[in-house]
Amino acid sequence: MANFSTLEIGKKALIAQKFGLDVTANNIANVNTPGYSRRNAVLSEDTSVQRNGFFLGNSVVVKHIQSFRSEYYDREIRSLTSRNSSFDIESQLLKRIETVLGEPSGDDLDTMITDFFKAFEQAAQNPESVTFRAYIIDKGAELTGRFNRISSDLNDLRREAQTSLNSSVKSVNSLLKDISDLNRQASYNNNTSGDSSQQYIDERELKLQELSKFIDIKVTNNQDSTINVFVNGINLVSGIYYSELGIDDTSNEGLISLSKTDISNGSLTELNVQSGEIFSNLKVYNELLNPNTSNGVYSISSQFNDFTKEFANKINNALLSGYGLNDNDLSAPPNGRLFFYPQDTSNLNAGNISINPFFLTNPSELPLSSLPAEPGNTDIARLVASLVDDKTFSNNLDYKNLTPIEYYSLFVSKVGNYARESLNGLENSKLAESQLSNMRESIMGVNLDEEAVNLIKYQKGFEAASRIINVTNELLGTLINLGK
Amino acid sequence: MRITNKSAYSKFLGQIEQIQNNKLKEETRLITGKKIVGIEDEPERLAEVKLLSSKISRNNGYHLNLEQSLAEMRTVMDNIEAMSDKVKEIRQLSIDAIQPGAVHTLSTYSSQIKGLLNDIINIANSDFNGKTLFSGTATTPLSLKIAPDDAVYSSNNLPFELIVVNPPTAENPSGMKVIFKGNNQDRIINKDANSPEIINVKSKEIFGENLELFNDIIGIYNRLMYNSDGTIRNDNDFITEQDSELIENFQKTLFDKDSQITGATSLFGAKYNRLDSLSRQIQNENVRLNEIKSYKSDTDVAKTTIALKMEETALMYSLQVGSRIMQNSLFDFLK
Repeated sequence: MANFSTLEIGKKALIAQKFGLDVTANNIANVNTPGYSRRNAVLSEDTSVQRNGFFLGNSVVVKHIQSFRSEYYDREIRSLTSRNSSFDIESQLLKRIETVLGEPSGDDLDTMITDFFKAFEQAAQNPESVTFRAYIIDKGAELTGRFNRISSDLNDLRREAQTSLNSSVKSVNSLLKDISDLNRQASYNNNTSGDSSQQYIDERELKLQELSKFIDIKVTNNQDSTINVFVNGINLVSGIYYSELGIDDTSNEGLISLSKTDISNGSLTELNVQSGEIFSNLKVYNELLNPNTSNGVYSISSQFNDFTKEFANKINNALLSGYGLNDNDLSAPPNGRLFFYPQDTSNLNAGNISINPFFLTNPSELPLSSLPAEPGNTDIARLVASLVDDKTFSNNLDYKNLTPIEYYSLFVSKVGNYARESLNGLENSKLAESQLSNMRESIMGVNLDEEAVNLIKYQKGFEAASRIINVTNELLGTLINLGK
Repeated sequence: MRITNKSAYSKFLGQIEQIQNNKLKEETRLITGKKIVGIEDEPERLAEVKLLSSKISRNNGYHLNLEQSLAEMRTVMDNIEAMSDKVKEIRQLSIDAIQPGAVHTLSTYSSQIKGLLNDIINIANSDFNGKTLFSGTATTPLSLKIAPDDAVYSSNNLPFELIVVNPPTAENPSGMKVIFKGNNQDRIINKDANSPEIINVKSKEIFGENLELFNDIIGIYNRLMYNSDGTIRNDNDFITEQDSELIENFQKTLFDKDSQITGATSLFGAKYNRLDSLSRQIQNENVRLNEIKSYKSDTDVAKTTIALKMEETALMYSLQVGSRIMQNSLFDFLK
């Protein structure tokens, strides 16, 4: 009886050490698997039995597999991933805007504006020369072309943000479905074996982290190993059920919003995201590059349009009282000779500004003289040229008492500050994420040295257990041979 | 802290990326020669650089304006001097003509004076880069205006023209008249955004409000060429005392006019010097502004080269360390 029980102890030990070896081997195999959390076979002495009046342990069993995850780090990293994505999208966008504006280079808009004013200065030197008037028109056309191109590029960037939003929403929907599927798997394992499979939990965490790139999520755990996912208090995944997101672009203000569609009843709930790719793309579309913002929302496009409008108005107003080379018999300045079009200045913006087509074919009629029949008079040309130093250029309170160049420089500087804030934010957030990832990695990551030691530990355990069986076998042999 | 295999690699990769970014930035600074390679680098400084660039560019514009104006003013001064010489010559001829020995050569004198008058008109009609110099703001034929009474006698499109009115009068037996088709307006340039400057000498400042200078010369010509009764003077016709007095008076008036021209030239010369000095001042200002701009926006080559070297060294050592990160594990020592 006793010898057979020793054999049983040896067998159980063999199984337990072999299990430990398998867990170690699995850790080693997954040393480079993203999202994998290391496991550890937790061994425990088997239930003691009474023998000869004493309680003696009955070998070893695998109690459970311990998995090393930290909910705290997972949550913090998700939050930082979301912020990282926001900063990343914004800094990329601002880098693109930098290229659109041609900054910093000698080929920027302010150089063109300065050259435009200089063209008036040169025309004032040669007031009766049609060539110099044509030169003003050339410089004006070059400038309006630049305004148009910047505006068109900013619009393209806005459209890209919309495309990116649509694709992000598709990815989010796919991730929400995957998470609910993984919830189902984890819950099934939990119900059937009483222990959830760590594999599904690890995979789900990876999906959650990926989801955090798009939106800021909050996660709560359920008893059955499933989780719930919320965005700003609104439930997107509840155990094995999930909702889909959609983009609503039917607003009259030209804004787009993110909403949740309940799969069961199709009802829509608007979502207010606070960070992540979707948040940043919404911000780019609805605010930063929206040419029609209101209520003091800062928009680069709108600001650029304001600058264009104020610039055009100043030039138009200055030229309005002038006479062209051939205006000899007029008692008042001719109507309809605005330099910049469209005529309805309330609709004028960087996208549609152009030179009055009349001047393109009649440069001699450019009104540079303050008196009729005085083509050599340069009052208006000099007046326009002096606008380069006009401190009353803008009515905008943020840009008051600034010349056009100062206004534009401040505008670029504002964009630059915005870009710097985004880059700093990205840098800090990346650093924090890297530190947290390292902390998390120190808990859940695989260390090959450790695993090598475990491998030896379980190997030796296995060898020792085999030895027990061997020794017991010899003992049994001795006993059997006693009767011969 | 527990170190895992992944944590060592990820940290290493992050650092390598950072060093490579820094290195690229320093390289871009060296290649472009610009300290600010992105608007996010130093937004405030970028705005300052933009303002400086604009100021420099505008100064260049004003400098160019001034240089062109100065070249034009030099031509004006040369021309005035040439006209003044011609007036002096006419004066001398008129003095010589009334000397007793010149009685038989009066027609020669008068022809010479007419020739000089034509020379003065030609000089007054001279232009600089297509702009006539003494016709106010009417600097091209397109903007010249001619009085209807004179139009019938006019044959060219120049600001000053010698016409012959028909019929002649007793006071002007030759019928010669100099007409002016330009105006006496100021030609103004901006020497900076807020201060204009007149750069022309007006016709009235040289020839008088009603072209008296030309009238005086024609008066001398008439007295030498014609008798008091309006007939053309023969070689044997003596010049009368009355004619002599008249010529003498014209000659004295011419002297006054010439002094007036000299006065106008000195004033104009003073203005020229002032603008020349301003032009040089703007040029010097631009030199300083360029220095400041360079200080604010250009790469400090020494500093950037050192920074680049530092990044290169960091990268080199990081890569060397990288090979060590893939270090031996316990497995390498287990037999």
